[in-house]
Amino acid sequence: MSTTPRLPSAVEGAPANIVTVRRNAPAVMAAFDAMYAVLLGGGVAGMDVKEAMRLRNAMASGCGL
Amino acid sequence: MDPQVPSDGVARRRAAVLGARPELAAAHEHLMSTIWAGRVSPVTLELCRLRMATLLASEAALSERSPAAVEAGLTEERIALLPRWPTDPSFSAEERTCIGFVEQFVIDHNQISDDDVYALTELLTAEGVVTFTTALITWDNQHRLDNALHVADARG
Repeated sequence: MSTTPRLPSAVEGAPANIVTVRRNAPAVMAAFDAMYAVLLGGGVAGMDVKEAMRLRNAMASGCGL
Repeated sequence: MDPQVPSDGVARRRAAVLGARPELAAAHEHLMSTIWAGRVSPVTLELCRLRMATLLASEAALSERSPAAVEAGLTEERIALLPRWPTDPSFSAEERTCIGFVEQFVIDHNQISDDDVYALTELLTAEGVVTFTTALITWDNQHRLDNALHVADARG
């Protein structure tokens, strides 16, 4: 699957990538990143389990990243 | 605060589930509040949320309504017309484009095309597209979680 961004960079002079595209909506992405940090940082499941789940999800959904 | 107002049963069951990770629940609610306060019309968002809930058979999500969307004029009569969005004249160009995108996202996201994203960007701007697609992935997770953990009343 292509990983070429379909949205422009929000950072002047920087190429479009997952970081610079997300900055088009900084408040939303900050809230998303905060939730993701809580998701990864705590709970009873270890990071090895979470990473295995993330990779399995990426395979199932065809995510090239 | 979660922008949706669940029925009592849904609220109770979801609170019981999310209560296992209160910090995560709070972060999730903050994300949803930020999305609803963002650039995309709450009526468009709510129509899309409900369309996704229909496609994923999420009874819990279908029982909820966004106060922001209701305040902005979304009625039960229009919600009842949602299955006829491709032809019913009450749906705007923005609503049609976004609902169509939702359907493609749920059915086969790998077939979303450059043209699909371009059409969305023309209507919502890049900021709106990032907000909208973040809403989609968050609802997708929520609907599947509700279904898997039997949050809806009817699941008993």
